[in-house]
Amino acid sequence: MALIECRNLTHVYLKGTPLEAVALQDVTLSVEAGEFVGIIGPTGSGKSTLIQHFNALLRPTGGALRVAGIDLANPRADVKNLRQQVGLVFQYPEHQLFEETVYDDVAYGPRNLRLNENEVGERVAESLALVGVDPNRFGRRSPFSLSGGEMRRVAIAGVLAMRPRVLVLDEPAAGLDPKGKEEILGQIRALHQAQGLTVLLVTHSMDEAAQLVRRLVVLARGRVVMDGPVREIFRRAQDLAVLGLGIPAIAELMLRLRGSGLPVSPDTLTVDEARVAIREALRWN
Amino acid sequence: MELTRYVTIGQYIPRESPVHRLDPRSKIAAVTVLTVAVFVVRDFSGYGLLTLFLLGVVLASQIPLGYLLRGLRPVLFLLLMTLVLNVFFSGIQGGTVLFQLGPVVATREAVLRAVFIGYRLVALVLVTSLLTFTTSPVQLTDGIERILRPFRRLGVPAHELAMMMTIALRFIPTLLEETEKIMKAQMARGAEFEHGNILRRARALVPVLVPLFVSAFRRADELALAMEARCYRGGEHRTRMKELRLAPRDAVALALTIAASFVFTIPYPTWQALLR
Repeated sequence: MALIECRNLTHVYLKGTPLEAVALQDVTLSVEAGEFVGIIGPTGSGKSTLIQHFNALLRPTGGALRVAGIDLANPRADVKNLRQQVGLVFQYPEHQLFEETVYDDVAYGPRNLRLNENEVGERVAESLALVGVDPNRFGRRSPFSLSGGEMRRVAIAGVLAMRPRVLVLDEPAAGLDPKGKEEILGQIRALHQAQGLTVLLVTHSMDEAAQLVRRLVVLARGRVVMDGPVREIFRRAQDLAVLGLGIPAIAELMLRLRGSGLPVSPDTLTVDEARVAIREALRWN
Repeated sequence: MELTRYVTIGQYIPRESPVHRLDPRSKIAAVTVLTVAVFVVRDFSGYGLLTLFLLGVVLASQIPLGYLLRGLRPVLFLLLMTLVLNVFFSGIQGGTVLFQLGPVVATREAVLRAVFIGYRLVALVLVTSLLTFTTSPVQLTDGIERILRPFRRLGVPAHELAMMMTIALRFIPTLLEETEKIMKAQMARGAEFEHGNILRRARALVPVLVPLFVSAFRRADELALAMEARCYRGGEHRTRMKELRLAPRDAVALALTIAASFVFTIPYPTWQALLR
């Protein structure tokens, strides 16, 4: 049984009003425990709507959805239990910070779980450490005095403090400087590898997807239009272009090199792979 | 969790209808006339005719009736209170007793009056929602600015008031969306807004209100900066892209509304005499 299982999932906003809008249509998708899945798609393709279903912030208006064995088409599903298992990090999560200190803000989730203060403290220290924020140095500070990148990491720690099995992130690197981006993404990769978290990552950046995920789901106009290993998907540059999506910079470079007659391998997504591929093509081995 | 689903009041529904095409000033004037009529009407006959008139306008405006009625939901509580208070504390002495429980008495007269006043509230909400459903916020404030313009000599900052209204209206959906987003983010961290007593529910809102205020101030700052960067200096020497122009249809619509309003205020006995 897959961890996340949607069958013909459909969501219509403001159903029954003149403003109703179909956001998701017949989405069929399953994610196994331990996967690292990227979700890409043009603006308005339904990415945010889809991920909000995974922890029951939105309910399907049609179709079936099971997450961690909980049937979410059932209105009496155990939502509380689910929200603890599936951590959702929204876009610009630093906008949700509210407490006087970093410690209290991260402690908000565990306290909502009615844990005792010892365990809360343990979880705060652990999750701050996971995102590379020193609990002793930052714990007593106001979250509003931190830099943008630090605020974001504290906000992500706030979700990690729930100790979820699945982490869903909506554009976690958006609006950060290159260094901040790299740090955040590196930490997410580490969470996946070291903690064994199942990670779903919504992104606009093909480079991010190429670096991080193994499987890619492409959404367009509320439907899943492609779903498969990253390398296979990025080989379909033309289909992606039709949807208004690009491919990673390295893949683009390889494509152009092939176009100008250098027979590099098409299966190249990272700088290291590109170095090997170009050398091979030039027979420099 | 769709806040916009429950707040239909003040929402604009774009359609290509004759009501939508009217000049906002004539619509504001018509709503004012109708509002006065709602208070002047003394008989159910008047409200019957008013209802027919409103139904006609709704049909012409292409706004689904059900959606318009949904706008009543926020005032439902007020409506119930009005009904209850008027039935039991009307102060009407005597009359036919319909229902009695100890000192609590409901008379036929009191019930009729309660329904009458309750319907007055409904009519007011319907009339004003028709205005906001068929007039975009920008048009609405443009109309108000033009109406206030003659009072500028008296020191009324017409443009500034209109600009404040425009900005306020513009940010209602944004802030609703923001509230929804923050609530969801906190729910993802185990927050519960629908459980517990009033005190606990109020406390549960702190994690929503703090970020909401922070973001409102940030937005205000950014907007002010953006306006200044484009040399906004208030109403002096401002021209507009869309000038409001009254058309013949505005005169017709307004004349019809005024005439109809007079008809609504004709008391029932007069109708009886006229129709005899």
